[in-house]
Amino acid sequence: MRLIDIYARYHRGGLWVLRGVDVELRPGETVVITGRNGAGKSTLLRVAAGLLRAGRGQVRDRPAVVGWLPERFPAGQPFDVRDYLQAMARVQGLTEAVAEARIMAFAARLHLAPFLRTPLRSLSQGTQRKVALTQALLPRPGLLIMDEPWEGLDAPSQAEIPALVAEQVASGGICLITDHRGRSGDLGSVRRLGVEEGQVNERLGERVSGVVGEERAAREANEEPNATTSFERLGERVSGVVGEERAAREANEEPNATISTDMPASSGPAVGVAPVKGGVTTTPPGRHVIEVVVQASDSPSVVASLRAAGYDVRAVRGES
Amino acid sequence: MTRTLALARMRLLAYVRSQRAWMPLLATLALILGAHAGGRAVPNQAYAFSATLLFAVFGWQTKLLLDTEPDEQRMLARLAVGSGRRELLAGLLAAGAATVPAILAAILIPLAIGALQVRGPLAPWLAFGLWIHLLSAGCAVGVGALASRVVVRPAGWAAMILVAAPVAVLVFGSREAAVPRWLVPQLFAAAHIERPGELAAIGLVTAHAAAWIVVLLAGYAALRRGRT
Repeated sequence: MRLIDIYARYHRGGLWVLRGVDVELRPGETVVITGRNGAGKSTLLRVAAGLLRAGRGQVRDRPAVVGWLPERFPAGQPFDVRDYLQAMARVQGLTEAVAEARIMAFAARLHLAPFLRTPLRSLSQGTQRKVALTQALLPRPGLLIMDEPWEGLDAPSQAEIPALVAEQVASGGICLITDHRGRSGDLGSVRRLGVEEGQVNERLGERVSGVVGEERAAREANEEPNATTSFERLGERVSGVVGEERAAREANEEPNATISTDMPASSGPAVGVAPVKGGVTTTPPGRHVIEVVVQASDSPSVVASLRAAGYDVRAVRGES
Repeated sequence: MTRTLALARMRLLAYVRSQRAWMPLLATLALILGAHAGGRAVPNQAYAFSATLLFAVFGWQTKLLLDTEPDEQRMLARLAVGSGRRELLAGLLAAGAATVPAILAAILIPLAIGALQVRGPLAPWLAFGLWIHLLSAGCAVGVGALASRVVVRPAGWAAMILVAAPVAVLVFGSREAAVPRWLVPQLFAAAHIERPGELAAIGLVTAHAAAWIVVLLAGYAALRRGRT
């Protein structure tokens, strides 16, 4: 697939978001797009998918089947998960039997099975992303485009992303991924393209990726140890959320409940979890403990959904 | 075509499940009952009048249906169905299918409440009613599509289109209108067809409405190019 001298913008007379982009995407290749916010990553994905017509230039040899994981899943639809996925599978041209088999397979892999009869509107953001990911993968696309695939997913599902990408490229498909948080290191052999001011090239990709990696390393090195949380890879994001929640709590906002969950490092039932004492958690080797801060009124439902997802919820503190 | 129909079905299902379908349906019932409350009328006038009135509802309903789908879902649907043309066609098919209950109600309710003064066999007049309402629905689907969110983003402009088009059809659709008749589909002109067998008059109204439908849908397709 080739993008040749692409100029793209959203409105006639508007500024070009992409200017003279030339990219070749080869079968069996994973391409990671990096760049700052507003650099044109999502525009590049839209042009590659055929959702945005290039103002100038052309896209050649785009695979017939394109799977798309959008940044935001449109959950405001009157379907439950299963009905939605079955309807999308029919639109994608799958037979009912094939669709059902693939839906169940992805539901098992992405821990979506308990939510198959849940209305889309009632899903958490992470579960919505799983539905979005499933619909993108159902037709076995020749071109799989994923806009920040790690965002919102829980750890077991995040861990599935490299395997899903590997399967996609092993079958000769192309995988195009945006990553502005430097999480694509787990994907193995990838080609990195950087987007900056409407231009795309591999040298930029290396530089942007390097900057992201350095920032992350610096953040990890400088981060103060947290008294109540102990994270490894997933720590950055969750501790950020915990920090914000704590600041809000200290500012006398609404009371929150604190739930400590033990997250298995690999799938399977949680066993041998250390108790939480005096706000300090000791973490057994190979496991992660996450403190989740939620509104007090939400804690029963969050506890239930965490348990349903396979986490071992060990303690609930705060107001009930 | 199977995938296009599957997408049309999905959109129709979303429209019904979202309960947006109720509002136009209730408006249809109110308009039909109101239109026929004045006493018995000959079928050509009764059906031409209700088809002209329902033009507004059909257009509104089309916009409601097409706008039920979130913008991001329209992108996913476009990729799932495989082409922009199929995605566009699926929306129009769903909008067309959504007019069927209102058309049936418009044909059968006056019959059920005894509001039709039929001389001769009934079947040709039922066919006449179906014909004029289908023309109304076809034109109105085009207008509603042009007012849909993917084409017209500001709600005020969309409302203006949805109001201006039916008013123009009502005001300029009569024989005595001061403006050229080709400006609007001549739905109300069908009231002057006194026998269902007047093929020349029926053909003229049909050709006029068909030209309107072609222009509207071509405009919709042109405005949708590059917009998903």
